[in-house]
Parts: sequence; C-alpha cells; structure tokens
Amino acid sequence: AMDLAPGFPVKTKMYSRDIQGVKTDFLFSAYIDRLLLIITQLGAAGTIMTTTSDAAFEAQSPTYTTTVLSGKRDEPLLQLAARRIVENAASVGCMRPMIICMGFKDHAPQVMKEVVQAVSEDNIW
Amino acid sequence: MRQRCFTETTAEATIHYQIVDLGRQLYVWAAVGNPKLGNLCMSIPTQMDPIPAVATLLPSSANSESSSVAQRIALKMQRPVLCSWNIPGTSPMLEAIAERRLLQELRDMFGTQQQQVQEQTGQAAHAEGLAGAQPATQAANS
Repeated sequence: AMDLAPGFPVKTKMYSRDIQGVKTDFLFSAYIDRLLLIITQLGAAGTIMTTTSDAAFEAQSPTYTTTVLSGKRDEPLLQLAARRIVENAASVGCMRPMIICMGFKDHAPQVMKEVVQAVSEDNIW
Repeated sequence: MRQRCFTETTAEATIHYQIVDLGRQLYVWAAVGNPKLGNLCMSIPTQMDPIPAVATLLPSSANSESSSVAQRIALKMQRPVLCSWNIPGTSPMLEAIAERRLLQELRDMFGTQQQQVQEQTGQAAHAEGLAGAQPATQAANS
C-alpha cells in the first residue's frame, strides 16, 4: 500500500504483475533529474543500471546508453531490457535519465519481453 | 513491496522522505528543496566486519553524508540499504534531524529488530556487486 502525503513532490507508482508465473513488483519514482525503476521478483534491487537518452542532433536518431552500476555485468539481456525500456519511454517523449534496478529469478528472453511490455503499458511517463 | 512517503517541516527547512521496503532490502531517499535523486549508495551488513560494507553507485557533487547514513541504517535495520541522501552538508543539525526521523519511521514500519538480526546475518555474506569496494572504517554512531 502507498502512504503518500498530498502534494508530495515525487510522483510514484507501484504495482505487481505475474510474469511467466512469478510475482513481479514494479516501482516507479519520478525525481526532477531522474526516474527510478525498481522491478523485482527477489525482494531486492538486483542489478542496478543507469540509462541515458541523448537528444538528437537534427536528423540523427537519439542514442541510448546503459551502464551497470552494481550486480550482473555478464547478463546482456538485462541491459538490453533496460535499453528497450528507455527507447520506449523516449518514443513517447520521455528523455529523462533513469536508474533501472532489475532482480529476476530467471533471465529468459520471454521474461525480459514481458517485463518491457508491462513497463510500456503501465508507467509514469 | 510497500512504500511510505512523507514530509517534515522544521524551522530551517522542509525535508521530504521516501522509504521503500523491497522485502529483503530497503530503499531510502531524503531531500531538502528540489526532489532530486542526486546520489546513490548501497550498504550491506557483512559477517566480515561489524560495520556494514558500503559502495557509492552514483557520486554526489556536494559533500554528502550519503555513505555514512546508509551504513548506519544498514547496521540498525540489519538489511541492505540503497540510499539517496540529498540533505545539504552545510547544515549538520538538519542532517541529524533527518537521519533521526528516518530511523524512527523505519523502526515504526518494521517493529523490533531482535528477530530480524538472526534472519538477516545469514544473507549478509552474499553481497552482490561490491567486489572491489573499500568498506569505510568510520565508526557508526548509535
């Protein structure tokens, strides 16, 4: 349950979804300089990544970068999922840098795909 | 997962707090003024040292107590803490008020810690992603 004082300056959203049979918690927090996403099945932050969207020069398409700050550096699907999330956000006008935390029991492509899908359907941008 | 967001108005400033119980870990955020996520560090209790290990994930531009606060919370709560501390370092009184309030709210959310110490120390050795981080050697104030 959320305990949110009226007028609290950080907008947040929390929900749970079943991803391939595993309960997955999603938390979004919007700060003025960054967005924080925590997506976890483990009760822990898991792998913590930063992402940036660089605004395009004129005709060039934007570039997105993901960096692992803590956790699994050898699991490319995590960074790929983070990049997809950032790309989807940018496609609807959200260019804020993000911190994305992912704690999954299983890193199968189908899990990543459903997580990215959940975020694009239900988010705070 | 559960969350508590609240604001405290002191004579000096208005402080905003966000506490998230992820289950096995905590995320805490506090800020004065603009709601920025300006820095981030992680502290994890470990069996190798009475003081929890701490790593800076996102450094802060200003002099910040983020690491020490994270360690003290991790020690008191006996669980890993992700901490973003945006209280100006120029005001030690304000920092002390904010930390005290945060710990008070955490104690209210989690009740007594006796049982939890036994449960949590087992997990402490499995610190993810802190390889290469130097544990700070400052003593944690109680």
